Amino acid sequence: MDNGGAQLTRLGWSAAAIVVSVGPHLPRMPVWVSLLTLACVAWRLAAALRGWPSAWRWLRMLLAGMVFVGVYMTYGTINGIEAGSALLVVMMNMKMLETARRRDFQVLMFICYFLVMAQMLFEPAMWTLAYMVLSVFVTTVALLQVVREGPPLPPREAGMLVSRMLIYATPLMLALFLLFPRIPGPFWAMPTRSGSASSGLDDQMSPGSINALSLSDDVAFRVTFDNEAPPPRLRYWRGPVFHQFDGASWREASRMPMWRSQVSPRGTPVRYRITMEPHDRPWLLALDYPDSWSGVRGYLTFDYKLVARRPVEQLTSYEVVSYPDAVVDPDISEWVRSWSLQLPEGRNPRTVEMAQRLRSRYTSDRELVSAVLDRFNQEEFVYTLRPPSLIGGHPVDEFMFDTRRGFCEHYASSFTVLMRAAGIPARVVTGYQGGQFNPINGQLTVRQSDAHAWAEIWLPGEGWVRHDPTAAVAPERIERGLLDAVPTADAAPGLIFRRVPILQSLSESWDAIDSAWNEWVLGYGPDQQIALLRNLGVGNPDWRWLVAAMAGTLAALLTGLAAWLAWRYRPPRLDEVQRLYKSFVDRLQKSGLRREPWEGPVDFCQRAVRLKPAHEGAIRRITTSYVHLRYGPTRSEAELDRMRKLLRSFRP
Amino acid sequence: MHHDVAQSRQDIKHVRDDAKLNEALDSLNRIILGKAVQIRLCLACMMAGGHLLIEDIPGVGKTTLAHALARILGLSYQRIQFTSDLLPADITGVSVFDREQSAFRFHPGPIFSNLVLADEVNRATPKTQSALLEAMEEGQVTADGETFRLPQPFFVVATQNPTYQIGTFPLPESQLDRFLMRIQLGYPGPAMERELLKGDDRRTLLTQSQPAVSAELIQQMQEKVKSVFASEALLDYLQSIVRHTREHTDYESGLSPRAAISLLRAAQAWALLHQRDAVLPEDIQAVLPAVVGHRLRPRQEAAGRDPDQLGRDLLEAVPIP
Repeated sequence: MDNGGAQLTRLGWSAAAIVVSVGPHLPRMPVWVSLLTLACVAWRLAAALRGWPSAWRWLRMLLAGMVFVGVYMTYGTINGIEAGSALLVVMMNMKMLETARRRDFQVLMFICYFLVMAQMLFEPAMWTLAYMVLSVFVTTVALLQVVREGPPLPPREAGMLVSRMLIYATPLMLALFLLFPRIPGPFWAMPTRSGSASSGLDDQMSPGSINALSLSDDVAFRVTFDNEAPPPRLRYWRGPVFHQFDGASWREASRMPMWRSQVSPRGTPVRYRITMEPHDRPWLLALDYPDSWSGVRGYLTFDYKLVARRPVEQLTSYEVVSYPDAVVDPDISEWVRSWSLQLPEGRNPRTVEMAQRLRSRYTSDRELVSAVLDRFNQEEFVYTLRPPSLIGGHPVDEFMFDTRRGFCEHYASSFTVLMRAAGIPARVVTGYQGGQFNPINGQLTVRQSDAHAWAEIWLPGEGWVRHDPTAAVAPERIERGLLDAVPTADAAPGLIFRRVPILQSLSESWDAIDSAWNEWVLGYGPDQQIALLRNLGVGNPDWRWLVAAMAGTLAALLTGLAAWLAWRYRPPRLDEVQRLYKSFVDRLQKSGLRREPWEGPVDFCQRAVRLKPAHEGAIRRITTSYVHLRYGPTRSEAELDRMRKLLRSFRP
Repeated sequence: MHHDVAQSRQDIKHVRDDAKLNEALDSLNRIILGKAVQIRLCLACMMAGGHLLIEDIPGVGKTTLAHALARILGLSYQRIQFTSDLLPADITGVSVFDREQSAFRFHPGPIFSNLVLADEVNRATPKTQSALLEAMEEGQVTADGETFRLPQPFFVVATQNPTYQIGTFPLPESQLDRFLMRIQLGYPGPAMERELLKGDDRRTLLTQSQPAVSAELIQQMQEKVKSVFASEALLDYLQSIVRHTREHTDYESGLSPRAAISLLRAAQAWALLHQRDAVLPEDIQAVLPAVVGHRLRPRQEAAGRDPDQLGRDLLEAVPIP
């Protein structure tokens, strides 16, 4: 490293690389990490500008120990991707304090690359990729300036050079991405993050405890149907099922029966493929009622929800066959029956009383059900996303008789309570309802705002039957989606966009791109890899084949690049004189006499004569001809002829 | 280096004045023992019309060499001992008022001579140094608005003690460039030193020897040097050497175009000195250390190497195309 200006340029680029690679991580980390980063970069730049000596060694050690403890205290661990990346950031800052030699900067830049990569673990979205390309570009420019001998390049030149390098690297990257053996299973799964994913579903439900449902526009999952999609009124995507009610909240059955359910197929099956965004819960959504599935390790619980063996922490894709018309559980066990009739003692007395009144009026379960639904439909119930809070001890009573304003959870909950009080086994099912077709790729996109709750009742001989009281209140919610059911003032901004046609189509295009990204980049797993290779005509690729193919492809690409560079910088074509002389040199070389590339012809001749005295005459004559032809003022054909003849018989 | 190969061919013109040049070389080698290569370089430098800088510690024969050159080549000779109180006029000459003619008359200084030995040039102040270097560059002296041409051929041999000695003004780079070659003499070998100790005093030998060539012949040779043929292939080689110094990071800065021309001229003179009418890569290689040694500034890592090593490294890094 030479003068101060060059060193400053290198530092400037390194600081830029640190800023772009650390920047996106900082919002997730405690504030002191940001402050530390700022302080370290600023101190290093100031030190370079003012010519301060580097910080004392013991101070740096002390500081490093302190930040290590700081990370441990903040996260309670130093493992896991959050604590790990925080540790990486603070340690990089420590390294920044002691950058002096080329090697220090190199280490710094490699950490930057690692942090750029780590970003994908947190935000596996397409814009992250774009940002990563930018970060890699800046970091590579910094690395180039740092390791390069001599003065730093002007920014434009460095930029061009790095662009070229990255373009050359792209085929290698693609080959590695496509061919690196993907092993199924959790090996590739990301380490667990603590509750960072959001979902419209929860493992409990307390209608009335929240007074405004926030409608998140995030995608929950996407569906591709193999054939005809079911009509909107049948698009019930089953999630958590609630059995236990304490008067205010619903919970899942506390003890799962050990048996697994089996759907007896009836009617036309619906075949589809779901690409699910990570939500950190084990539920796999499926249309009622899933019969078989593939692509994921999961099982069907007794209440027909599809559950994965591990929480869905990464984009997961699976195929399901469902039978919407299947009859499930024509007989139920006493256990299930008692759970499905459970009501807390002394809660919501008015509702219980009303149920008992209805029960005495209608002997048939069916009539009772339609009477209740009629009541929802005809009395002044309002579907709204901003219902008043239910603050009393009997929220169902309050809703049924006082406020009468609510959304799906309120209706499903009250309906189920009514049914149970009337002696009909019932339960609340949550999940998603509906979804929106994207005309560009024909996929159905289901968003968090499509989260829904409905009820199932068990009727003798018919088994579990779905009843959606929300449909009785606001049929358009089920037929056309949430957007049409709620007043404009209630909807989230993201939803309002969808009312404007041009924004709607833009949103659809983006959704299609995002889905393709999910499918082909994030979701590129072992199955897709094998499918792709099958399409390319590879019979049965196992991991050995993949490793070999990867190594082969890389070797071919590198050889190709080397060949191209060799061609690009090939030596100029030799004319005949040079060719003849070269063959002379080659023949001598074969007999053990090597000419150095910088050795002049006369010097070489002297050496050759000394080592091969037997050929002195020929060597001298050939050299003389060559010298005349190549360096002499005139070039005679006779001389060239002489050289050819001499060479013909030259056998050292 | 042997160059009998090229000699043996008929169609390379023999230089008519071979004999005289060889005689001059022999005489010089008798006086300056064991420095055949440096003597040839001196002659080549002179034939190429350049000036020579000899850099070495005192007592290795710098002055004797310069004196011998003048003597054997039949040139008028002046020696200027540079000291810190030497003034520019002490070199170029002064105008003195002539009472009889009532006018100033220019009295030419010691620089008006064919061969000027500027001894210990780095002892003088920069002002005095630049007076000498200006004269070297222009081939003329201007005093009181009048220009006086220096005699032809004009050849400056400057000697310089290594710059780390106390009380010296090292020549700046821009002025070093004015010298076509810089050579070092170095200690004589043991055998040569023994002969030096046993034999006659060099100065006595010097006064006994006769000029072998004349100033006119030197001038003719200088003309001839320019017509020594340099083929495209050779220019390719020369350019790749120059390019290497400009691109490689071993050097602070590359060779200038002036340095490239100097290199070619010196190689042409070297070829002529070996009775050839075309330049070979070996000619470039022979003169390169002397021509580029004082023009190339190695980077820190490469610093401290002697100029010969620097030249050899450069040559070995560039293949002959």
